[in-house]
Amino acid sequence: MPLASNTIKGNRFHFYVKFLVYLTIALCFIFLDLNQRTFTPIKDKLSSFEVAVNGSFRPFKAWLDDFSIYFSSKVELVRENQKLKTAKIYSDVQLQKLAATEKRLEELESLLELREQSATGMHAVTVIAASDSPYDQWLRVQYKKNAPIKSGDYVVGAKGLIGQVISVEEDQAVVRVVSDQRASVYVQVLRTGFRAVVFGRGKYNSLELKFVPEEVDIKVDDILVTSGLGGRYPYGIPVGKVSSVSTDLTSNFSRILVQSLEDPNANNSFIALTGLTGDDLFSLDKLD
Amino acid sequence: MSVLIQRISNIKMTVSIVIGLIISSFGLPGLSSSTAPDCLALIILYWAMLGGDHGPRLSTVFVLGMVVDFLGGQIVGIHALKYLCLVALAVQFSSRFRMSARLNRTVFVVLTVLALEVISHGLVSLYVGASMDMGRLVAVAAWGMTWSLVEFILEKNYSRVDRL
Repeated sequence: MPLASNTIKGNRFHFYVKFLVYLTIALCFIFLDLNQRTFTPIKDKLSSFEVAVNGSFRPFKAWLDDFSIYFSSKVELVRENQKLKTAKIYSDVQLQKLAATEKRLEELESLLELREQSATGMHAVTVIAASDSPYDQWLRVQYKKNAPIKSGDYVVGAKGLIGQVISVEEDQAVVRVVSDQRASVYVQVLRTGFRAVVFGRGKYNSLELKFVPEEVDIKVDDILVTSGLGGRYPYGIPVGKVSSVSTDLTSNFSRILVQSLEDPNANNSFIALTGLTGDDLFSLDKLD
Repeated sequence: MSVLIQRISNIKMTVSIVIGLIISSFGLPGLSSSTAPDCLALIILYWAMLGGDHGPRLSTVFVLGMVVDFLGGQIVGIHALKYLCLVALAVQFSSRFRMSARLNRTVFVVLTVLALEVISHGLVSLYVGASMDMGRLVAVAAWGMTWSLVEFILEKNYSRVDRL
């Protein structure tokens, strides 16, 4: 009876003999194919069979391609979405800056239009500080050095009067806004020519026409312009529009409230009128 | 005394070999021939290592290799050479392979397929006078790492325990 180890060794020997035989045959085939190209005709005939098999697999391959494209495109879409979101945030910021720049351009264009109508006696001022306290409404403005701006000069915007210069420094001035409690302006009703004085009420954009008898013809939406009394201040600068007319039972005067036409907080640039200007500064026909 | 009888399903082996043959011959969609996996090599290695006496024979793997070469239009005999070497390695190292951990097996498989690729295509490249395709070697090593997946799919089924 052979030992188990002998049997295993014998089996192994047979195995390796067979292995060497097959190895030799494989190497012969390799040599024949590389050197003599013996099997090329057979491979050519089989290639048509391979084409047919590949053709039958084509729908499956196409489905797999679509499947992988779906996932890869989804990943790309998510990535692109993230990039676009970031770009949108930057664009929004740029748009806001652009909107502010456009607004400033409009302000300057409107001021330039005013400037062109009267070449002398107008100087551009820029607001650098403001106070809207009901007891003290003012603007601090800056202007070009050596501009002949003095106390009492009117400061106007594109739509009408802003206020009056009350103090002047080297290249800065303080302007009392027309709606300040201590401010007052000689005005004239554009429609009737009636002259009166309008006072600030301390409220935002709110004025009051005082000491107007009840019988005076004055209505809501009447435009008030500067009267230019005394020839010291220009005539025809829009000041405000009548917002309400009511009778006061305790006196003989009407209670007339006026809303100023120009908003001092809306813009940053205005014009100071340093000299007498013509009455064509504002198109009074268009104010009605 | 109880003995664990390992039953290997011949149907399972046949089906896995046929699938491996198709994939090795015609490739996977979307992959070029240089990076396509040699699934049949992994399947043959699996059955040779873990199949014991029921593993594929030398004649069978030789014929399979020739079929792959003819159908794939490659150098006739290359795959037959590779598969023969795999079976020979399995005979030598199968018992140690079965006892080692999964990670060790994967490393062994990667090194084995890489070495066989270098030997087989390296010799051919030397004979022809061309340089070896390094991308091919990387692809082969990468496909070798899917050994755990092959094991998982083809795991043996211990279906019966007999008492003696």
